[in-house]
Amino acid sequence: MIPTIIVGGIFGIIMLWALIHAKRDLKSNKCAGCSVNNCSSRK
Amino acid sequence: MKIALAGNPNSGKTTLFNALTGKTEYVGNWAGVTVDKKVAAIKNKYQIVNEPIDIVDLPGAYSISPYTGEEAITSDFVLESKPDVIINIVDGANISRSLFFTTQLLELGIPVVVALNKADIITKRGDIVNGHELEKALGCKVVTITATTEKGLDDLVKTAAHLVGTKQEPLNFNDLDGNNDVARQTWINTILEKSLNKKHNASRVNFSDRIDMVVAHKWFGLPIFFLIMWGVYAFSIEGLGGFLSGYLNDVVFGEVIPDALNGFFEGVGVNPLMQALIVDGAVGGVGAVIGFLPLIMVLFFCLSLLEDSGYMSRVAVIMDRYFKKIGLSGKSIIPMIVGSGCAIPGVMATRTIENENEKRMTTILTPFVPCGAKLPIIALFSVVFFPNTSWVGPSIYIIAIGVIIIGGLLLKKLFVWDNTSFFIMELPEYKLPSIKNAIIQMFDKAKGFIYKATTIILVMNTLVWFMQAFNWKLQATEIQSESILASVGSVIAPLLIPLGFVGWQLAAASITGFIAKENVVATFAVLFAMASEEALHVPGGALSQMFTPVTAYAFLAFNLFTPPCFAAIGAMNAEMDSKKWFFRGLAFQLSVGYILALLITHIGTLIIYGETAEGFVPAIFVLIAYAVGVTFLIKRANHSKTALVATE
Repeated sequence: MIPTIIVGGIFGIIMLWALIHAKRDLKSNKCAGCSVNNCSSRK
Repeated sequence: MKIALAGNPNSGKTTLFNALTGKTEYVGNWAGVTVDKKVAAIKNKYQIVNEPIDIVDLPGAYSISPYTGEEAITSDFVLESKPDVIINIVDGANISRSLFFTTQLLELGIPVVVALNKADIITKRGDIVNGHELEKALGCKVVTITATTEKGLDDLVKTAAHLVGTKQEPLNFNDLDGNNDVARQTWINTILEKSLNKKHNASRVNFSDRIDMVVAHKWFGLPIFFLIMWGVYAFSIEGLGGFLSGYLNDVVFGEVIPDALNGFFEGVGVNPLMQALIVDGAVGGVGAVIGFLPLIMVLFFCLSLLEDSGYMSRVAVIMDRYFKKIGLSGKSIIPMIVGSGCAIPGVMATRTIENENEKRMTTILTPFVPCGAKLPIIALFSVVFFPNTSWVGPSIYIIAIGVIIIGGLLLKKLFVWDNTSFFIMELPEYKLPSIKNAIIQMFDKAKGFIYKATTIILVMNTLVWFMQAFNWKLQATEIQSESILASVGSVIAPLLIPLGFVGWQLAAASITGFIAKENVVATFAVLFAMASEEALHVPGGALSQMFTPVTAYAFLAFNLFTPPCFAAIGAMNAEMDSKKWFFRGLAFQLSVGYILALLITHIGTLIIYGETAEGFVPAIFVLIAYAVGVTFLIKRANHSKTALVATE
């Protein structure tokens, strides 16, 4: 049970990070390239 | 301290920006690559004053009076934000034309330093520029630089920093007789007579001209372009890129990582469901996409070399004569070539088109060019259904050009009546492409690809795994057809029957593809990891249960030519600036992808297997309905046009 909680916790943190970034990028119309190049710095 | 970089298109502003700031912004050997301003702090190496220095890279402009959208960004910034100093990049290969914009900047009263770029080309041509004479005539400092090799940049930054707080004595052309622009150019020619000793004869046929006689030839140009692209894609998908991707998919993500993770989780006693979520869902899905990383890197390395050599701007000229027939011009090819990397900057690059109808058409047609995110789908289907052949990737690009031309004609018939604008493009001289630049672009693409795989694709795969492992009562289920994903996919699946696609899995993969196209591959990886013993990425692999080679190719076309991912749809919405046109565009893209897949399935099956494919009868009804709908819309458009002419 404890290993599952630890592994689940680490996976949960990674997922949260991914979710925050995915949501931010989708909202700002950013593609992967734009995340690097900041080309969608539209007005 | 704010230093703005301003100058004509393709004068080397972004190359200078990257050199001064250490950034890796997209640089292309053609006009119109930068369509938005970018700001970054100067590198420590050039930080010669205590105050922080910000460098602003502005889109190229020929004049301070804006003609196109991106020129407006430059003139707005220069006129309203008032930078402390303007570094005006003057193209050493085109001094006379570049100085027109310089004279306008010198009228503003903001300190200007002229950076005479491409000094290497000036030297190579044997031309001699008298910098002191030019400084005296313009009334501002002139520094000779070569941005690509960072030569002269120390001097340039020092000169610019010393000018902060000073006032530029404005040039005044208002008192000149006659047309202001003509007078301005006459004045420039006069000062160049004293300051430029030209050995280079522009009217002589040079090396670039000789190459252009073949590669930009009106009959040979297009076949040569296809041959080059065939070579690039064969090398990327079937050659080095394919070989490395095969190893990554089959060995690293197929055996090494899953075996290690499974061994570890079993060893420490992690719950099997959690283990399956991480190994089959997250790692399996993300791995299926990242496995194609070498392929993407090789492809973009090759494309970057082609672009830097100056060839891609010739493609715009080659395509211009075909595009004119559908109401577009060669200008539209630039967003499409940019869109082959990613549809979003491609759609944004439509800002360089001033004609509104042309801009809308280009915005709708650009996402048809297969972007980097679609490559994993092409590569997967190519490996599984058409192993040891090299025609799948290039054929998709040939179909894309066909779809753009036929789609453009249809759009013109349905909505657009205006004549095409003229296309004038400055062709840069051919040059040996920079390997350093190509490597930078390649790693940038790789970084972006990994970032996307570990964010949005990871989230989607985890969700897909959860939806296929649980039913609506949130109970784990071993039978995929009872899962949440199966019931969601089953709602959409009937719509795909006329295309010959049978199975909720295909509907589910297509839906996730709208979030990000790589998800199509990742979703298959998750679904088949649970349901099939066979590997996904091998010839005749797990996917062959779902498709014949013909329907596989049709499914590929369906995913590639229906609307792009959400982020690109958002960019289309922003650039169109009209909800009516935005929805028209989406409906058009959806219908094009749908009908194309339908035709490939049914015509292909009839020709190759001599029998009708599944969903043949519904397909006939759909085709009739589509033909009636299009005829009605064309008639309505003709009627509106006649009414408009009568009113006028």
